[in-house]
Amino acid sequence: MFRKLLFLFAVFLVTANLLYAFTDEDEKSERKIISGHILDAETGESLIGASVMIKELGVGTISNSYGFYSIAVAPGAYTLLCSYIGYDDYSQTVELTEDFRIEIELAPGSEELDEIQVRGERKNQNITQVEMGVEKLQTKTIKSIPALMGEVDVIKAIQLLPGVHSTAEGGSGFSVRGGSPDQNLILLDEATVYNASHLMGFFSVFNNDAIKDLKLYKGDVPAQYGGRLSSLLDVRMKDGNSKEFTGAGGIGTISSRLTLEGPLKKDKTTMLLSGRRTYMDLFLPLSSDENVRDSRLYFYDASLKLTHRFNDNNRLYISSYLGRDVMKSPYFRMGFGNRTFTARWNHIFSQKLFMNLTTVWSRYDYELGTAEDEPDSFLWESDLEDIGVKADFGLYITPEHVLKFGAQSFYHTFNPGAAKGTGEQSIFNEYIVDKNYALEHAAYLSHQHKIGDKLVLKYGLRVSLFQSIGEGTVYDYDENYQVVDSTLYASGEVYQNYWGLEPRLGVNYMIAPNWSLKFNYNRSRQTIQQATNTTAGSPLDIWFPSSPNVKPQVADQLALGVFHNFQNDRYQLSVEGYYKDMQHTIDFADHADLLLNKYLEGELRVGDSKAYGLEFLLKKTEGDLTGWVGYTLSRAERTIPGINDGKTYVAPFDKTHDISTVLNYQLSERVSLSANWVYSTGQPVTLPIQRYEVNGTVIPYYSERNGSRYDDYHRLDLSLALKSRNRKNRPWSGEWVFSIYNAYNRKNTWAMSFIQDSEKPTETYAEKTYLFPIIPAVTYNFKF
Amino acid sequence: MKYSYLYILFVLIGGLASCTERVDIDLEEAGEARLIVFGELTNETKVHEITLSRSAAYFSNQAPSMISNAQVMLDDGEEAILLTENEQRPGVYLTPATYHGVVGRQYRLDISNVDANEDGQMETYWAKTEMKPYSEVEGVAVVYNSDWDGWEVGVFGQDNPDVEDYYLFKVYKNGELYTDSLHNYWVIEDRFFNGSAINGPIVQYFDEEKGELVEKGDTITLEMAAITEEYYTFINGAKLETNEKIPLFSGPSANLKGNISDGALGFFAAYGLSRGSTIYQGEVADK
Repeated sequence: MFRKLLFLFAVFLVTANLLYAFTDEDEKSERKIISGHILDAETGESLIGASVMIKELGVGTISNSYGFYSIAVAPGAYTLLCSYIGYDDYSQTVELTEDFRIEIELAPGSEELDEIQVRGERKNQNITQVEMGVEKLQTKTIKSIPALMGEVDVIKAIQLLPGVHSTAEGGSGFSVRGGSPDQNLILLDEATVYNASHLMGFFSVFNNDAIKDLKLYKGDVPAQYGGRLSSLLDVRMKDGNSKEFTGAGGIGTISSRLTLEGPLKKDKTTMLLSGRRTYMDLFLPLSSDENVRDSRLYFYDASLKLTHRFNDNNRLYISSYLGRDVMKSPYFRMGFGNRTFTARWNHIFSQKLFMNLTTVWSRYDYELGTAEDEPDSFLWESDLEDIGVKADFGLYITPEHVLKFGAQSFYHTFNPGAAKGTGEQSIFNEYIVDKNYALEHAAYLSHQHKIGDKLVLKYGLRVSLFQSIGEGTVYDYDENYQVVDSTLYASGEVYQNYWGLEPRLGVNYMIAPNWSLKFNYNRSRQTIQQATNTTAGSPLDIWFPSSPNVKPQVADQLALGVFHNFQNDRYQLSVEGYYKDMQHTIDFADHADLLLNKYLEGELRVGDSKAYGLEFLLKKTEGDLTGWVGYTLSRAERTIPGINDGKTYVAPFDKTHDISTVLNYQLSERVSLSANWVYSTGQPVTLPIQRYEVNGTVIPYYSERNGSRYDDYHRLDLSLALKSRNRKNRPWSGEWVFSIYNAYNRKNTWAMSFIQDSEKPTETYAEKTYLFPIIPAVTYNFKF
Repeated sequence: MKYSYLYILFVLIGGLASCTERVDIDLEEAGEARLIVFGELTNETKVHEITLSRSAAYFSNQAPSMISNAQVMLDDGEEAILLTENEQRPGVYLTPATYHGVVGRQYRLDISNVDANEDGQMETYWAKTEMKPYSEVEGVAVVYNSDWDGWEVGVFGQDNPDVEDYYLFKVYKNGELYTDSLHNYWVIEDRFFNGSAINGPIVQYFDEEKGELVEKGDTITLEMAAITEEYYTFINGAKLETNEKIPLFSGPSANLKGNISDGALGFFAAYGLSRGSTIYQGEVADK
């Protein structure tokens, strides 16, 4: 009932306000438009989310994902202000009689602001913007966070935000507000990245040098995006320096990287090329063991981006990513990786209407196999591919009314796995898990409406349609999850439609210039999920779509937050509470067989889940000392028939308390110190209460799923960055980074095993596995 | 099978950094003891055993408490016999030495006069299974592999294309059973080779590092049994729950699904088996 009411309310708001937005045309037609892009003055890189304001009117907007902004106001003389964290403020007087176009170039903040200096423009987007549950990280910040083995890692940085935590020690999987890692939509320049990890999860696939901007939406996902219940991680690659050729790179403990960027044609075409490769395997040939000598173990990734500016109104962006992990030994080999390709065309119709057309291709695949010509030689392959188009529009009617709308269609191909024997000796037949094909469409409309000085509303509706299409085989299962029948659907035949409405509502009420109260409601649907029941996940985990047997997962999330800035906006404080109710939550049968299994759907168990929590964040954005302290109090639980005897149990990624402290202290112009300390309640785990003996083997007997927890997790990481002296006539600048991971050598539990003593078979003991003792690392970064 | 490769892979990567240590942890209240049943009925003519014991607190670290004086009935659909308790080994109930299972028959075990939780009330339990048709071991190969220092035992035969087969392999050296406990059972299903000629895949091994030595002239006997899907799942589950946990691949811990009624744990299995032997001549895997 509550949902229906909320939905009706949303529909009412949308229609009423749209009517309003398009009335009063006389007044609006007199308006003139100031528009353009906001750019970095040194590199020409467009800046996302910078704010532009008309000082006299107190109205403004923020630049979109392509740096574009547009403000329509009555003619007059104005001061145009622009600001962005980490950049010097910009101001310019404008005599507005006609539509006016200006590319605003912001200079990177050279000097830290004096603590008492008062600035012209407030940096309080967190107060004025309606969005909540959103965290933005700049690559500069990410770079300063101490990292495992010195590998600067975007996802590890995200795990330090409130409401977000790592799913396993050292891993790059992350859980947002108690959700599973597969409930995060990870987009790299609009293309879905299905497996964001390298080297069995210890490093993420993003090379920080090639990234411009990163935004994590923990709940308030814009209507433009959907398909995942927990979050959206929107990663944008740099466009490349349009002013001059530059390079940056690093030589690290386990990898090296190099990024080159520059204009191919001045002010028209820019290029960015970035690559990284690990080289721990270069030491393997030194081993005395022949098998180790002949082994390979490395990963690499490469990004390419081309940006072409046809004219003021047309831009083309082409980006591509390729990453691969390779492991080889004389008996065994494995490879996995993502590939993405995105082409986008930005077109500005009038100075008010911005359009972006996107075509995306994305693929994740893996293969593993053994040496040939043994009886048990095999090759096993799996892949997943997306092709899609999106059209997104932004209509900047007035500073008070911004409309966003668009549509998208994706074609998914799932190849869950095919294995076959290799060589003549092999006994294995070909075993193919049926492919699945699906179409996923969505259309959305969202309206941001500012009412007076204090109230901002954002409401929208996303309509999504998921279609299973042939050729496909659907198995029917009985109540014991045994296959009883199957149906084969012909190629191209649509055999299942799931459609749904996903309303979005956001309200921001500014209680005072430095206080605001925000509310948010959001419904999301997920039709593609991952078959994994482990905490760390592995590269072999496959994704599977909704089907006649698998209903889409649905989540309703309510959030309420208070935001406060003080000391000239240098400190930001926020408290957000959320409640999430989820239906058709998927978990897996005990000892589920999830790989190379035609009857995977028989291993699923479906029920409901919920999550709720409170997130506190205190952030200091400027000064010698910057960083944040976050604390999350939360709970996530599931109730799924067939698991834990149908009783409610704690979700695998539930952490009651979670504290993250991230600090960076600028000791001098050249030296900075960073530290982060994390603490969280131990991960839920199922521990035995009894044991019994079957034919000499002692077997544990458990009482309740996730009924216990590991010891509390905590860890301190430190780093020291030492910059080379700035010399005017030397184009080269370097920086040494010394880091220590797990500085006080905490043995955090990674796994707990219960072992029968091989010497004294009547005895059993608990054995803790932990990773990563103190790990020091040195990295040298350079720029030219 | 595939998981053993994943394990190797893990050792390659995780092993670079992972360490283990014994820890003392507090577990929850153990609760009431349960009846534990174990027995494997085969098509061989011999004394077959059913063992009854109790579960105990996880760190009790003693041999299990055996259950004596129970009444254990075995019914194969034709006749029901009462098993007799072994005088030397309490809790072990025996068939006559002339007893053998018959392929295709359904077996039912009824257990009564048992007080597993020691509350003074007698309980009854039952279990059912069937004996599946089995295929013949046509050949056995034993080869030393220096990559991991041990002897691999391969099997030759033919998988039946018409049915889903679940195989259990046990191995004997000079007549002595080496596969003496559930954790060294080797089970495979024919999902990936249904109907194929089986030409020597590894199905058992002797680990040199554990002192399981095979010398020239030793007779190695391989036993291949056709087990039910339930027993296969039970054995696989037991392996998952008793091996080390690896967060990359190990799902949440869970109880094994046995086939005994009324909350009792364990398994009552029946299977037909065949054997094949070879004399080890010192064969070494060629590289």
